[in-house]
Amino acid sequence: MSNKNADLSSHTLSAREAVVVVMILTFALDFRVLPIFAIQPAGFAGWVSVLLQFGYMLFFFHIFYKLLISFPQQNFAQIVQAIWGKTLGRVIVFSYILWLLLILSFNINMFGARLSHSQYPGQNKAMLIAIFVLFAVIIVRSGIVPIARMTRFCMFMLVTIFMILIALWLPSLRWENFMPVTYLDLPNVGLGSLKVLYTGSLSMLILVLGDKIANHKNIRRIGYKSLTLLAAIKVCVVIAALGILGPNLVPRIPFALNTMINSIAFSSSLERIDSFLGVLFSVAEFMFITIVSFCFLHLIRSLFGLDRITPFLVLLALSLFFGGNFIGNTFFTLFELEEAFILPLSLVMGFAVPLLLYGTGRLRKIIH
Amino acid sequence: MNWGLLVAIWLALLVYLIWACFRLLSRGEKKELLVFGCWLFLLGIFISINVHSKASDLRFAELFLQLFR
Repeated sequence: MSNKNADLSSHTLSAREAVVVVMILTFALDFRVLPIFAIQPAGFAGWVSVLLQFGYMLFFFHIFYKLLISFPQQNFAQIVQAIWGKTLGRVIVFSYILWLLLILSFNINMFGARLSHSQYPGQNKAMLIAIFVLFAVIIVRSGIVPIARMTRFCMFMLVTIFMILIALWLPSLRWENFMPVTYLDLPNVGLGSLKVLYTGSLSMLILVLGDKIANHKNIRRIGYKSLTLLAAIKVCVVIAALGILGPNLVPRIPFALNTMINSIAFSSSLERIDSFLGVLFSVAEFMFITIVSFCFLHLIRSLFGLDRITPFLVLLALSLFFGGNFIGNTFFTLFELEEAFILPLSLVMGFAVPLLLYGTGRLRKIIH
Repeated sequence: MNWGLLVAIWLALLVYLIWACFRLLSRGEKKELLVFGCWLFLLGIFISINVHSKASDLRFAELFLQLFR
């Protein structure tokens, strides 16, 4: 195997692996923000926001598919430069690199905060982040194929566990907490759906991995199936959050899902289930950081036309460590930063830019 | 401002850059070295800003929110 091929493994992903890789990014963000973002604006009708978001996601996944199928075996940098020209294309790709760095730093900090808040109270957050980053970089070094295979296994576990969780939550639900929903809730549902859509913004990374996917044709079919399954789970989770904690309490709890899981441990014969689930959530967040880091490096490689990316792994680790530690001090400023800046930015980068790209491609008759 | 810490950070980054120069140039990877140098420089600036802002207990999020409020 040549040097170029040996660098971060050039083996390709199947369509199923590519879709699962993208879906776990959504899932990992959902753990943290889904109950809050769905319920805060829409209250009782929070679960309808998730249904609306599902509609948006189907539409945008179709756009991603059209872009992928029009530019087979090409990555995002090549697609952007083919449609918008070299100069603008490079500016756009560079802005994506900065966006991914921000997302990585923010989520690493939140991961450290969640662990030191719930699972390891009193532990040094910087130390947790250092261990996490170190392992993430080691995994990134092995390439996208082992990451995707790990993700498939992890996703299977997560979906199974969530189905069991939903069944366990059912007896504790207070049905009056998410009914009635009227047409007066529509504006709030619309706002809630946009906030929930933020968790799916990293689905656009399927375009970044475009040159790593072997068979583009099956992506749409598998993607729609996965989105439907994910939406069903998300609706059930929001209904459970409403039913157990109520619409007034959820927005005030930083990690509502953890509290809901603890409620199972307290109210039934199952004890310490939260420890096991905590590990599983950490694995999902770990996969999130690993995949986004890989895409970050892949974008840098495509932008600058580099042969190897392995010399940058230590720099990546340093950037993630310092970025993760320095991005914020408290939960409240971080949540504020997420709502005020990261959320709108992610909607633009995740959906608006690919949509504009598709529109321009159609106008220039590059995409049919 | 903790000048001692800043000097130490920049010295460490410089040593790392020199090591990378030898390693990358021995393989003839000039483009990689250029990207490496720029990235290291930006990282140094980011760390310096945060070392400075840490003295007043500010971080990126706080600085950003203060700018745009």
